Amino acid sequence: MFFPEESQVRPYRLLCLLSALLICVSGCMGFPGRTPPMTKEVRQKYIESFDMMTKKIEDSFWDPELLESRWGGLKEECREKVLAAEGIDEARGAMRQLLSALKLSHFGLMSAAASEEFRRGHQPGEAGMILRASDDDQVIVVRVEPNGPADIAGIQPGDEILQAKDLELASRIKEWKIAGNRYLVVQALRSICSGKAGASRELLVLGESGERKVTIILEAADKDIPRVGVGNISPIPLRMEKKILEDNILYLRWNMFLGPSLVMPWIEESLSEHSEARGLVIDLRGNPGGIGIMACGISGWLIPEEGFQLGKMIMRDSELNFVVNPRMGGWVKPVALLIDEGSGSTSEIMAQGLRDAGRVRLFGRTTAGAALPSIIIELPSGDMLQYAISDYISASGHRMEGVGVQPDERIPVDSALIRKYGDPVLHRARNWLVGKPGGPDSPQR
Amino acid sequence: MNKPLIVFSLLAALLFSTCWVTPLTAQDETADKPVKEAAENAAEDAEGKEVLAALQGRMIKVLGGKEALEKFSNRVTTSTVKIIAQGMEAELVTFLDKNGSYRESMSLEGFGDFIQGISGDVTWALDPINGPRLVAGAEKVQLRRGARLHPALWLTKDYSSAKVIGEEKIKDQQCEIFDLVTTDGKTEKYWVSEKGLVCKMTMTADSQMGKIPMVITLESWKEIDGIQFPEIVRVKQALQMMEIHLGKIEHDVEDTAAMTAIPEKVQKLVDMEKSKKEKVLDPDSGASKGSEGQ
Repeated sequence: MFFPEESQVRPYRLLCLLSALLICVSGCMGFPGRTPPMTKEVRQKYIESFDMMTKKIEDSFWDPELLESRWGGLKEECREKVLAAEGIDEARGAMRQLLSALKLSHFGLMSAAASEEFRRGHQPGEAGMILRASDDDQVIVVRVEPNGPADIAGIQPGDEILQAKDLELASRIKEWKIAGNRYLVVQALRSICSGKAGASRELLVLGESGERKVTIILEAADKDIPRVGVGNISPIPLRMEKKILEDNILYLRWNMFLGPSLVMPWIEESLSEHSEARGLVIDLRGNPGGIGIMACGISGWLIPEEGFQLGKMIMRDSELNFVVNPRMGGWVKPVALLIDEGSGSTSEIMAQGLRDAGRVRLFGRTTAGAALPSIIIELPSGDMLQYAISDYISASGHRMEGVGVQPDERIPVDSALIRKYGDPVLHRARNWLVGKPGGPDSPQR
Repeated sequence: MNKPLIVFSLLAALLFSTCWVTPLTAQDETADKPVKEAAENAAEDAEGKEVLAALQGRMIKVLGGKEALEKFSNRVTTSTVKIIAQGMEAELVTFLDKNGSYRESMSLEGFGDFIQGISGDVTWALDPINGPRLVAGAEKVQLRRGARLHPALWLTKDYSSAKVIGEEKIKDQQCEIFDLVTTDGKTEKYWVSEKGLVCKMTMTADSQMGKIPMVITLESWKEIDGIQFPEIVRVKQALQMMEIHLGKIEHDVEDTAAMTAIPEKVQKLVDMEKSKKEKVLDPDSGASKGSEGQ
């Protein structure tokens, strides 16, 4: 390419990369906002925002026929609703109605107030536990952070949460599941475990010794935990966990694909420092994604040969391959990758791509099925719009949107298994890595 | 004979072959068609070269003249890359010299430095996510072609022909639209003002991730050290719009050692590749014996 005299730069490859960096694949929109009044000026901003939103999506949507079939006359109908809205929530509601008509992940609207709170460094509170729904709609505690609010309140892995704020959960889970979106359940359960720092959660818990009422006070994440963001994604706490498990297995977990300047060297150092370990566990459970290209970078340490790609983005006029660049001195021993319904987007891209390459065995449960590359922009109203800009298929042609990534070995959410093994998914993965038969709790694998 | 001539010679040889082979299978009434086509192609080729040479002349003149362009031996440019819609900004530093050395570094807060360069025979890239890489194939060809200190001086070497295909007004400037064909056969479109300044370009970038269509517009030209530079370059990819704002330009920078050196991580790759090649060439190695057997 000739950049005309003397146009000072030839940075097309760097720009392509920068562009790819900004393609985030996480599903994390929909924060609550305040409801200011609808003045004439504000209404105008929302009309402009509506028009910008529809134009952006129409310009980039990879399948114009599908877009037309999903929107049709609804677009005009929703615009009329924005015009007639008496409050901002109503205007946003009409915009969200149009987005949800697409029936795809990664189309969302975050209120200006919520995004502003995040920009100011608002620190949400956390309960220090992770909840998942079992096949029979029980809400089970699958992980408790040591010394976190849930731990201090005496909650144990394997406990069942029967009620939150007097709401009976099992029937709710059933309703959410009917909607057919695994990630909806994950988000709903996450909202029980997070909120304003200092807020309390009244829970009815069923443990081994019977039912009890528990109050948890949500705490902001430790100040020492680094906060990372990118572009319009505001800084959020980045947690990286490394440990050596029994049988000399290296275990790595990070909660988001963000903060590459921290995550990438950490992975490199961990693999180098523990190169004598017998196997590697990468835990992507609950990881909602982030910067898509980080999946390629991390995979570069696991795939020693050239010529592999995780998959490709299919845009309207071009395709972008998620190519893996092999690293010198990468990890060549077995890798077990843990997934669940909270593993979204970049996590799904990495899991499916590495399986296509024959590099990992997947343990856990089917992922969120929310794997569309997207970007986040600010609208004239100040609200943030997240919209998908391409379809995505893995190297083997697997389309994960709405379907997810199936594990090679499914381990259900089960109180008894959790009480017996602590973390049955990890237990089974560890067994596989060291060649032990069986595990939680199948007679044969 | 320089490289483009070799390419033209090869092209000519191919045309000859076609002329020899085709009549054997063609019908009598079309027997002389390939000869005509070849003649037409040759005429078009000559015309394309003339247009290219004329375009080069216009460009060199408007940019400051040949003397001004050849005056300096290197240049360091500092710019800012902005993706306004997504609230992103990065610093971009580019080094180019007369000998073909090139290094470009984009610093992104929270990410690190994304670097690519040409150091002698080695074309390389290094970034905090994908690590070091030796750039090869079409991507390497494109990067090397783009890394000229004075691209206008190379126009007739890096491109084989030019053709005017239309006219269009770009921001009040009447422009001719040129199809420029690179020596490796790729077509790029240029919108060139009456003065000879490029206002807009469309092309496909070869990258490791695939082929990426780009639309580039150049605005607000200003003179620095007797040469014209655009202060704002807008790059629209399939995905988003980026702006590159020119900050500072320094010519004839003295200490260039850091700019021309190969980073340590890249050097390790170079050494590894070299060692692989030596193994294959070693007559005592198994690999060599295997290939002899074939």
